[in-house]
Amino acid sequence: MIKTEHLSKIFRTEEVETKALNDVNLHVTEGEFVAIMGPSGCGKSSLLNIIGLLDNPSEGTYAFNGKEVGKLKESQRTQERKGNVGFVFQSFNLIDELTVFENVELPLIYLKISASERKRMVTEVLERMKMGHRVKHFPQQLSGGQQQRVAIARAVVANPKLILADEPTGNLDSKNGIEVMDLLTELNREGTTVVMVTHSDRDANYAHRIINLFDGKIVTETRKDAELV
Amino acid sequence: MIRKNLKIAIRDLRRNRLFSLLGIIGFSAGFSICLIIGLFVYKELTIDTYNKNYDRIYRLIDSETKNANLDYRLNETLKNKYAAIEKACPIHINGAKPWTVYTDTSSVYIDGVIATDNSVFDLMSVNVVKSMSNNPFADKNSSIITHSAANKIFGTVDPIGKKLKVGTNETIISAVIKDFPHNSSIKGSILLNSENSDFRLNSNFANGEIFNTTNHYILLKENESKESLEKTINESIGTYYKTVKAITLQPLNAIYFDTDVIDGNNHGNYSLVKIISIIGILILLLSIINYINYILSLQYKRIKEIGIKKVNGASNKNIVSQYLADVFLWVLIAFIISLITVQFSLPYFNQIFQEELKIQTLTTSPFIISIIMSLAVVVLISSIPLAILLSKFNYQNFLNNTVFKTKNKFRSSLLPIFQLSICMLLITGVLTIQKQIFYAKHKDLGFNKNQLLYINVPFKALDPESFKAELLNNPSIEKVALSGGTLGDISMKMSSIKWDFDAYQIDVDDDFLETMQIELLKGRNVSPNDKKQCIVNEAAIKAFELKDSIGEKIKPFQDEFEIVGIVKDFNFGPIHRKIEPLLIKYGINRNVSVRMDANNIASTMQYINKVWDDMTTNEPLEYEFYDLKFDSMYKKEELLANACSLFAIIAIIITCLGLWGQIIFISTNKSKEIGIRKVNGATIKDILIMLNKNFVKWVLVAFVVACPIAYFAMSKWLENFAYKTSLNWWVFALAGIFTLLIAMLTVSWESYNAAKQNPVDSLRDE
Ligand SMILES: Nc1ncnc2c1ncn2[C@@H]1O[C@H](COP(=O)(O)OP(=O)(O)O)[C@@H](O)[C@H]1O
Ligand SMILES: [Mg+2]
Repeated sequence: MIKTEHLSKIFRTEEVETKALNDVNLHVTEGEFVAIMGPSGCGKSSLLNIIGLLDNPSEGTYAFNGKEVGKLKESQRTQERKGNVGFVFQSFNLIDELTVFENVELPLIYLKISASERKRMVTEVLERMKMGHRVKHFPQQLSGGQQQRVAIARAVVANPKLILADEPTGNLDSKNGIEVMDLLTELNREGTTVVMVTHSDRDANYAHRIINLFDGKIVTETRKDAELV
Repeated sequence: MIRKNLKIAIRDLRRNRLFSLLGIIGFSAGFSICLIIGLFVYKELTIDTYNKNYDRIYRLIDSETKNANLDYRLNETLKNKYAAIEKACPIHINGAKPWTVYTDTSSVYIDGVIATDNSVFDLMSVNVVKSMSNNPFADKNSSIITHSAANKIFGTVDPIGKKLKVGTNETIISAVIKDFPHNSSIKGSILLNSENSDFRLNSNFANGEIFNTTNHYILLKENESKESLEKTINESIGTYYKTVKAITLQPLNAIYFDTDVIDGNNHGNYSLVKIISIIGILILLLSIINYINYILSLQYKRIKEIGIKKVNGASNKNIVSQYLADVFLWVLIAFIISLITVQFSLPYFNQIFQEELKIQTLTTSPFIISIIMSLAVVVLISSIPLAILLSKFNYQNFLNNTVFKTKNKFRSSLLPIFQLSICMLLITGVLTIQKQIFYAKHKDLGFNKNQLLYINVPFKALDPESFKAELLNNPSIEKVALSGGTLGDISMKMSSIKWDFDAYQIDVDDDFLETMQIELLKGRNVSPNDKKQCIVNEAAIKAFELKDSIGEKIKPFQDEFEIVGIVKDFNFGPIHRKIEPLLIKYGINRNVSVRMDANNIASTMQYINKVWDDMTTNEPLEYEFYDLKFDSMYKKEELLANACSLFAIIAIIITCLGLWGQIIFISTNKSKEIGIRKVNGATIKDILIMLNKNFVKWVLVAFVVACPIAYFAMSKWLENFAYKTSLNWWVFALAGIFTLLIAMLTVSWESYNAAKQNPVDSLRDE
């Protein structure tokens, strides 16, 4: 599903040039649960953004579902991403002015799905995330764990094949963190591919495979199922 | 955390610099326009107050006919018979046409000749620069000229004692005075001594005698009342002169706006002053609200800062005084920029609108008071939200930046709707005025004004009939007509109390109808043999209620006339007025109209000049093209259109700055939301729609608000015209579309930038 070769990303600002990713070769197959770890600033988010088609690599190739997408224009990337990728962020990234329902509805609106169908889908996914009683609330009226559950609901509402989570538990206490991890695992079991960035060994242990990044390079890969076997 | 705050602060500062600059520019532009409008309105409202005793000076007008030209001999009576009158002065201003004045060696045109006497120097504050004797008018043949007229006629040579022929009046210059100030309703270049009855310039015929007339100005004694003097005069005036029955005392400073009285004074247009004042107030409101919004938007970003300050022990007083100091500083900067703008732009305004406004006037008390008040309003109104905020202080809200959310929405949509409405109003105004001018210029006048020349032949300058014959020798001259009075200003009224309408008459020769291309509907043209026959226009048929018109008789004066022809109505008076009844008689006169070939105008003009020079001595050719003459009747409207366009442009600029500020504010505040939406599949188009949708909504609401107001205002304005253009729906539609376009152009660039931004940047967690 995800296949990158010699991927690099260079950020140029007025003063400095940062090489965030350096020759990254990554292969993720459908149904996998992959955790990316590494110290702060090593390029984890940059990698996730490229995988999620939010950004282009500076060099190298990236095949998403077998299609080369490394050099697509923004509008084409948006098209490829729509309905296929769901995002979960550390700081939830819900829109303060919108209700829980409206936040979750967002991807469906841009997929041009009819209002009645949207209602059905949003209600269903919120029930599943145990947030069905909070549809009319605004994000700031919810706890962090609840907000992240809404964010996950939004990420999965359109039934994407891939979920990208950037430190999804970083702003949560351990109880809420475990709840979120359980949700992600459950989604993965149902067939959704999950790529997650994390600092926590506990969270990483949920994954089938752990990739360690250092200075924009993959330094080690640990396959957990291999261990288990 | 500190690094983050620092980074945000620097980013904000960059954003805010542009943002604050926009606010200040918008406010200064609006405020300087208001100051200039203020200067203009102030000048208009203080006309003639430069006279030391202006509040005691009055002019006599006939209560019934509203005529200020009264029997000259009244002057003696006013001076001698009424104790309450300190001084009486005859002033007759002949300002309508340029005068030809002759020195021994040359002749020039001069605007405005006034017949008056030495008492004018007691009554009015006229400054004598140089004088031959104690009295500026040394003797009965004296004339006085203004400084600029002296320059024009004599250059650097001393004019005192020089001969000057004004029209046919031979005078000796005995004094030079300063020019009449710009804010004077009495204006002229040459004063003639009206003690000399030949110099009185005006006469009337009534009760079987011819007598001179003039405007009588009086200076009321201090502590005397105007009403009681009025009463005393009216009780006795008839016993002295039969020609005057009842008079009214008109205050000097009321003359300027009174256009009902027929006189030669310089007049203003009160409705214009009103319109301009309203526009000025609207622009002031526009810029004040705009500015307050900018200040508040800047403060909105500081809510968190206020919260932190309070957490760290700042009192409300600390915060408010810091805030007031901030706002006061901004307002002061904006005000200084406005002053500088006025200083630099005033000369251009003066040129465009032929004014002599001075920035020094701003130091007079009415201006100082209103300026301080407007600035105080800005400071105070912009502090109200802060005061409310502090009274409801709650740490949680402040630190989360969640206060203001709902209120802000209301405020931020009210302002642009207000601005856009004003924009639309002004655009509709400009369009309607232009449309009316276009309509009037292209309206069928009932005669053909193109390639038609008017020549004024001064009394006894040459024989008009031989002049006409000579002109017709040129093949490019198709037709020549002689008439008394000319189309555009026929002033010969038939006064008869039998009719309750005005009726006019003109004497013409038998080529007149053909030269002017006036359509004869019925009957025949007048001929040299017609002594008691006449032609009338359609309006006359209606007004006199004539049925079987041809052959019918009407009796406007002592003599009875038989109607031999009827012509289609044509504009013979000012085009603002309805076409009134007109009686056309045969008669040879000195107003020459020439119908020319369209092709050889230049050479034809040369020919006319040559014929004129051959037939006259030392007499300049005075001519005018009818099309220009009629077009120029719309000067006032064109001036208004220019002013309106200018103000509309300024209002549009202020509005654009306001909208621009809004979109910057919105896109900065929504950058996170935009990022989230994009991550969830929104395209650039979706984001553009989201950002611009509100602006479209505002334009629509503004359209609904502005249309009825504009409709009402423009119908009211059009009532000034006898012949008016219609108020078409497309004028409103055009104004709406234009405003929408401006709004979209203003916000699109900024919103496109915001929409284009990579969501990765706005959502980055560090
Ligand atoms: N938009 C950007 N512009 C400039 N530098 C960036 C940008 N995004 C990331 N970087 C830099 O790239 C490096 C990797 O960043 P990131 O991928 O966010 O690291 P991580 O998520 O592993 O902490 C960092 O040094 C960061 O400062
Ligand atoms: Mg990161």
